[in-house]
Amino acid sequence: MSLLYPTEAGDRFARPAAKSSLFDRMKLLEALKIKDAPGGGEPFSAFLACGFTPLHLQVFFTAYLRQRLPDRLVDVSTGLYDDLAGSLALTRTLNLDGLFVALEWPDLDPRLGLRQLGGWSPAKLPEIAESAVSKLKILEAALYAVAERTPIVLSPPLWEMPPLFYTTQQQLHPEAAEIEAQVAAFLARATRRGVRVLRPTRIAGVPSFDIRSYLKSGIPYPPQFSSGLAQQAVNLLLPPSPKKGLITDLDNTLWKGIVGEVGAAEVSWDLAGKAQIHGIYQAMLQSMADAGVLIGVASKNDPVPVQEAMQREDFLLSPASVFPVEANWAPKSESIARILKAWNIGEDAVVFVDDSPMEVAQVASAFPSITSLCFPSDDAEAAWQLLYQLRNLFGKSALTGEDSLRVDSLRNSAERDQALESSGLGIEEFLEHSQAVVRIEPVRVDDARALDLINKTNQFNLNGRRWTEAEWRKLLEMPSTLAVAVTYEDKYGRLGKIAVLAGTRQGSLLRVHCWVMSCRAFSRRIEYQCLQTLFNRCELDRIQFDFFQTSKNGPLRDFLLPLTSNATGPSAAMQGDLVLARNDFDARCPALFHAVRADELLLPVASSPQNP
Amino acid sequence: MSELETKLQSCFAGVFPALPPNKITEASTLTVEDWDSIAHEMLITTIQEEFQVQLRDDEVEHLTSYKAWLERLK
Repeated sequence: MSLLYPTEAGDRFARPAAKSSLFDRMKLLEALKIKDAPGGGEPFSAFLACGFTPLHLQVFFTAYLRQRLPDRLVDVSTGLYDDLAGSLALTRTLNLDGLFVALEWPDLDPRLGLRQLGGWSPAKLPEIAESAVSKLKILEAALYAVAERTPIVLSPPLWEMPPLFYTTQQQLHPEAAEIEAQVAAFLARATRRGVRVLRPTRIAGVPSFDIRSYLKSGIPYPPQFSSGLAQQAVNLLLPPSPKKGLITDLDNTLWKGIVGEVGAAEVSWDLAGKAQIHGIYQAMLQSMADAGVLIGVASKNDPVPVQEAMQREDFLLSPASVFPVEANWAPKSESIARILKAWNIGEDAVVFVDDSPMEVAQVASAFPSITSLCFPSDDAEAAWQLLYQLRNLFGKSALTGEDSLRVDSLRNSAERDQALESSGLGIEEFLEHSQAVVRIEPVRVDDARALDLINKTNQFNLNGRRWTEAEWRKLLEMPSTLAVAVTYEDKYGRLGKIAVLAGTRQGSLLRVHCWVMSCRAFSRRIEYQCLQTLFNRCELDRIQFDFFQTSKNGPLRDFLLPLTSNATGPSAAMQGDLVLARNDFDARCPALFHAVRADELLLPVASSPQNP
Repeated sequence: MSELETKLQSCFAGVFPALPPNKITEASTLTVEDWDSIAHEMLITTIQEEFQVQLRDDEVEHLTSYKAWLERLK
């Protein structure tokens, strides 16, 4: 097995970082074939807005979108040459699933380009800067008008500003500084408005500008640069699901040294100990933990020195952020199996980091879906690249309040399970005494956590359908849509927002298009409460589920099947729509003990807590 | 068919997806309706990328048929 150093591309079994991922990018011929290959499915409409000739960039953008959405009919439109503002205005009238805006200097003032000869006299420079700032305001207003309902990726100017200033290339001219500062401020504002601004710093080794092609055809980017840019734009527009958990080794990974041999006081992670890269890694893990990533430890070690080292005052990773810590002499794969069970997430959402290629290979063999990476403790440059790779694997567009709840919630679940085990109570009594509160409220369009939940491919996902941001917004904006988010807490702590259900109403029938609940909320009868509240509050007689069996959603099938078996027959549960009548639900719903807060739904609940 | 011809025909097939494979060797701006300035630009870039060559602007202007391209690349 080839092992396993990080690369820019984030490959699971990666080549050495020194090799550029340039050759991973699509070439134009391949892109043309993908773009023109027969296809079908539900339309996915995107728009490429730029002031230059979009030719190659459009081909690559379309091809990468088709690669990402093989079951969709992808269509990418473009606007008029040299009219970015006009293109943006046009997009306001279109029903788009995504917009990619490639801003370049001539969009701010033609004299910042090369295809119009307006003159670069020093006397004109302040006016050029002024004109650029005015144009930027127009573009900004047009962009925000679209951003309200369409996901947007924006790439900032990527080629070097032409030599119109009288200073040398090495000296910054005041007007150039002013233009660049205004663009930077515009980008900062755009990010706060939800626009995903691209940082194409990683299109390594490829020039961003081809003056020959630009003068001849108005195409500024060389094909390989267009390919990299389009690939990154698609990654931002349709981001892959971020990993959720990182399991790290300790010795020569989280710190330098073997703690079982030298003792907790002698392992190091600072400059003095020539081990700064390990300190940086600790700080990185804390930053990831603060952003909601689960951090666990799997180490072949005695637990006592491990605990002592983690309790050191200069340890940069808060012990509270690490759960669980598996320090023992069993094979790492056994520790990892226990961590996965505690986290209750899929293997494919987990990254394992260890300095030992042998351990990495063992884990990769036992858990092929885990991304297993070597920590190159003797190679600072490779370790540095690993940190970027981790950011790319775990990166997300925005943080939600739920992200900070995750570790606490897992600990609470573990405590709850222990309490149930030691209480001697039956499940009914235990639930009754849990002081559970379920809050059910309408989903807001700007609720990023809701979309995040809906796109989870977990065990309680109605059909595994993935929703783009635009599709989700469209659904929420339909008058007939009923979409609710469910939040849960009990005396063991808060689980936060753990379920989302969305459907459309037709009289007293609710057709549920998507329903996802986090696995950590199982065994609390929240799913029953959700349906009961909808029946009661929204005056429903029937709920129809767009069920589709996936490789993972057995638990949801097992929940729905007994509820709906009379109405549709068990085989329907494997095939598609299921209908649940209110009478059947009332007859089969177990006792529920939650206090329900659902004031924003339509009708009052009869009593709460309640039994059917 | 030589490797060069196979590769060149693949480029033509990519740029002109509607062109039947048996018509590629006869393709020219006169016989292929889709061969406009945009397609010509796409063809130039595709061939340059696939063959790792950089051709002068004044010569690509005259490469308006499959046969002309084949001769140039030989």
